[in-house]
Amino acid sequence: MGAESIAVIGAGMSGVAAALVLARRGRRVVLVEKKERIGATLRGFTRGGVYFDTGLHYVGGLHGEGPLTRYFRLLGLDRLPLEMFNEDCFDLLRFPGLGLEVPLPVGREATVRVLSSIFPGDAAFIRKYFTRISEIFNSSPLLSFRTDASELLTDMQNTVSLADYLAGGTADPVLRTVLSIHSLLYGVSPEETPLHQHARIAASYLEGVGSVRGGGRALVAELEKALSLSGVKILCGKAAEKLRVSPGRGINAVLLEDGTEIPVEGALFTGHPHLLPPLLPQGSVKPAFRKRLLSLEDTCSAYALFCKCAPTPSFLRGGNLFICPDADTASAFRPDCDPRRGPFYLSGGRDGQADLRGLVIVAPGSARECAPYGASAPGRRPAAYARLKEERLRDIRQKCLAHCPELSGMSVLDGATPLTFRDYLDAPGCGLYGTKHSLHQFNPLPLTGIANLWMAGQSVIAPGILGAIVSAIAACVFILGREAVQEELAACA
Amino acid sequence: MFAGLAERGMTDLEIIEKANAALAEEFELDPGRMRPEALFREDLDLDSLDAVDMVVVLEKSFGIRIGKDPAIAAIRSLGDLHRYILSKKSEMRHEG
Repeated sequence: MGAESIAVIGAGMSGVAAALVLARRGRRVVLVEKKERIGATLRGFTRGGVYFDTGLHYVGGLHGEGPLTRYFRLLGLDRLPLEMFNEDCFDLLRFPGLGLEVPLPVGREATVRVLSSIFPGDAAFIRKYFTRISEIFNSSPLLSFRTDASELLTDMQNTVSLADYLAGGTADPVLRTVLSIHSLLYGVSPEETPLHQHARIAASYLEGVGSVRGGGRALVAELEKALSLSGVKILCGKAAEKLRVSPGRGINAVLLEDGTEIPVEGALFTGHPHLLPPLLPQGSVKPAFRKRLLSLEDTCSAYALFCKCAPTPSFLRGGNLFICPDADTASAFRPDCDPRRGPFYLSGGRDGQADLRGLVIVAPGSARECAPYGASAPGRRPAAYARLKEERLRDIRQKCLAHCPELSGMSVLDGATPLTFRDYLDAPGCGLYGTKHSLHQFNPLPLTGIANLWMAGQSVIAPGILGAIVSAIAACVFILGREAVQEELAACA
Repeated sequence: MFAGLAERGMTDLEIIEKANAALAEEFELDPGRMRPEALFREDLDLDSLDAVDMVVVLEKSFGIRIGKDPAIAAIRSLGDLHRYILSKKSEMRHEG
């Protein structure tokens, strides 16, 4: 018998990252993915010759010793071609009703300077806020490359919401919107997001902001190369249907939908937490654990327009645009949210040679609105759903054109609703970023009630590319031991 | 929604019994071992991971919100838990 074998279930960013690290530490890894190819979300899609990103729009921490740079190095992606966003404005926030535009520059000092010039009465709080989120970010174990397992499991200090923290510091609702706009990047309302969780994501966008040249599909191509060198066995196109559990040994086999049985000595589940309990035999975990996973609420959902835009408006070259017709960001996350009220997130539209990338417009969307059509499958939706989709996408297009005349040359090639995201992302609650990291619910940890079953993915620790990788590394701390992961992290310093 | 307990007017004993019943079912515990002095770790085989599930079970059983209350970390025995749940009841009455 060789080294211990582990099944990694789900070949998204988290599953691939974990598989690569486990294989490098000598584990025999089988990566099981129900979709036809790895990295389905990251891969994006093409319509009418135009490529659209779906999983990767932009990230932070890509500077020299930034956390994402180090993690990409850890995964063997040293040659990943990057494109850095504009230093002086990577995000432009447009408030049409106020005639106000707020640019967010790269760098904490530059950000404090720019925002203080726009909101001079709140300069002291602006500095305090960015200092605070940086402190939290820097003290977070896996963002500062520490692997103390006990630190990874303590989450009890998260008792102040982002909204309460901001309300305690400034009376200006526009500034509060500016400081919480990145809640759209993880899909949880500022009213529900612990300040600590917000800081771990928002502060990653203070340095090294950019993307991968060529988009998500270029990242997937590099991950595929890394996997092919790693010895990881990849099984795509077959869903895991059951995990076999024996009383003494825990997980001992993964059964696939086609009847294949893969004997293993452990499993790492990286899919949506709702999808784990159906894999587990009755009696293998306590009912409370099963119910908690099944009751976790998803992050926000969305409508999206995929557009061809020529010429690309200058503000979308090396940056994003947030249109905020309404200063109340929290409304976007409510179950009765109105997609026409925004905020609208516009990304992409780069039209460099050999890199014709489409413009993606994302507007808030509620799973509830699409729920009556939930039983239908893609391509076989009822006519009423088609009308709802058409109406929503038309309204969002009109609002964006009204607030952003620079887009007058755009044509819409495709669109998505919360149901599209449900099926495309394999997210039962239509959430864009897995389950909510909220003050009011307990997301899974890497450890489960079964000693050789672990969890990772956006719903564990944090969402996004960085969050997915961090959750994979956290799971590896428990699978491989702290020293092994510490060695790996030190090697990519 | 926070008025749940007060409206039902449950006695302390009823609350304790309800908590015990929910825990017995959700954690497959032997009701005979569920004495107030029983320690979660040593006597009931529940660990820190189970603590999270316990919070969710109690929130659902009583229709209350506990969330990430640091006081949870200090709960060692079933009696501690009973006192905690009863303290939530008096807080709610105060608010209501």
